[in-house]
Amino acid sequence: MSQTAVTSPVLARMETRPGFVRLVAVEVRKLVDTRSSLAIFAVLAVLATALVVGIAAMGAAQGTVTTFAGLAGSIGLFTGLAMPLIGILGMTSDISHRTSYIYYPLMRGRTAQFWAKVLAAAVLALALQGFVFVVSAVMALALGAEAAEAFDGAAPALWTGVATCLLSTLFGVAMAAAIRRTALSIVAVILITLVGNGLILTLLPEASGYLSTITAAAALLGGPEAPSALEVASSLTLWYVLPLGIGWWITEKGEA
Amino acid sequence: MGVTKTYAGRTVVDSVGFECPKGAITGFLGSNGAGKSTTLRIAAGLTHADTGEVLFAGRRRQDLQSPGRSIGFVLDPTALHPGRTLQETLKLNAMLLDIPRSRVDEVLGITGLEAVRKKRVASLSLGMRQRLVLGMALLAKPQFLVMDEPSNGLDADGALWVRNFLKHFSSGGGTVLLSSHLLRDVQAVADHIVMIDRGRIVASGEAAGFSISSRTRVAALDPGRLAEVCSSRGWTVEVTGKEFVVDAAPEDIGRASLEHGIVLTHLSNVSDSALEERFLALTSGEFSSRNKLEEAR
Repeated sequence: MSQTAVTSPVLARMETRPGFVRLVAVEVRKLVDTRSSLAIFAVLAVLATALVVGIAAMGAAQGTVTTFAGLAGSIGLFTGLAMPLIGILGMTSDISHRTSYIYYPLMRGRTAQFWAKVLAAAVLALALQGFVFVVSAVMALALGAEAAEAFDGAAPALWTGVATCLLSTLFGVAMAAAIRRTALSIVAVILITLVGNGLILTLLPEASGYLSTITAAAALLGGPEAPSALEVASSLTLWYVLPLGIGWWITEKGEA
Repeated sequence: MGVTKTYAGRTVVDSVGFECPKGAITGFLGSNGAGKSTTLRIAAGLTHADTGEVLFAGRRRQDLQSPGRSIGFVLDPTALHPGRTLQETLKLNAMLLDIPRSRVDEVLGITGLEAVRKKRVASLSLGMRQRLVLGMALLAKPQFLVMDEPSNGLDADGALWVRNFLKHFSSGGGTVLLSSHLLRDVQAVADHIVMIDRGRIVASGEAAGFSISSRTRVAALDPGRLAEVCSSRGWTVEVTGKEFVVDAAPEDIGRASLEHGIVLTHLSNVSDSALEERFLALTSGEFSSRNKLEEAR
């Protein structure tokens, strides 16, 4: 038989595979256990607060009614750029610090760790989104609107916020999984989000629904301009499924 | 047959197969680039072998439910997150392997890192990082230890501590695969030795079969009398200028000269290069850094 053997008695002890929830908890902890990562989250929280407060103040100055839905939905660009950052950091941290050397040998395979990273990024992004919701709710109430009025349309806003947050985060995760470099992934996400979608719309207006990164988010908003199911499927495949699949394949088959 | 790995048409590990007996330390010797680290990376699942596989007690690593609880890998002390504290680095591993947090404190004590537990990895010396990686490997009280150059960066005390620890670990039934390019490091602890050169095993067997007698360089105020004393004890004396090389340990020569009132002016182990010569004789003798330097000249 073709093998190199390390002989010892039967390995009977502690033959329990770490559960997936445990892996996710470890990945979440890895995302927040250094000063630099905490600083990033603090900056994102402060930015989100400043944006919500600023928009609320502008609304108050113009005499418009400030609602929770209006505030929570007003920081779309922040969500579009901040949440992918969380996804990128979650996916590339072990690669950039070569800590895969430590964690891969501990587990029987790499697939579970890969998906745990995806979920951990989503969990932390949702936590940040939850913080945005809380700040928005506090501001809506603080500006004197009646509670019923302040939370008018809150349910769809919550749903849209959560879905947009997850889509943005997973976009960053997918890009980072395929690119595997933190800085390159950040540049790619910013360029695609701010420039790429515009270029696609300008150069290929007929196909933009199929190629744009924001098709799925546009579908969530609904309305007469909502993209078709085929356009959503195409966009999700191109920007989410394909890069995630490439990233998973590299993780599983590549050298650590 | 054994494991084989080829990169871009170059075979870096060629049918490397051997067995590490339980409760023993197997030294895996070879120069830099001989294929040791690639073999160990294959064992750790970091690199996929083209053919062959590494078995732990008859099972592949990926067939174990939780490999990290049975096998401790000490591979690369630089592959650590610089922003994490030592304690946090260990806690993450403990969390992943479902090991009680109290074990982290134990390991910090065992590795002598208690005082620096709150320090960040970035501020640690290579030796301390090496201790930390060893601590991570020991967290789950594994049955196997696979170590790549564990003495790298360690001071003399640290290297001695590693050697003593490995002896203790193997005497308790643990199985150790210790890779090093330093013959002396391996020879001090190994029960078995496997030598690798350019990806192929060139020699293997009981460590005793590779033994190199202690040789000491010595000089005295009365060299003639010292030579007589050494010869009378059956030691071979080679004259090299004003010094002798004697095939005895320095402490034995020191005792003998003290007994005869001979004043020594020099006493030292024969340098590693001499040991290396013997190592090279057992391997191809073509890969030494000295040869490469000569080629470069």
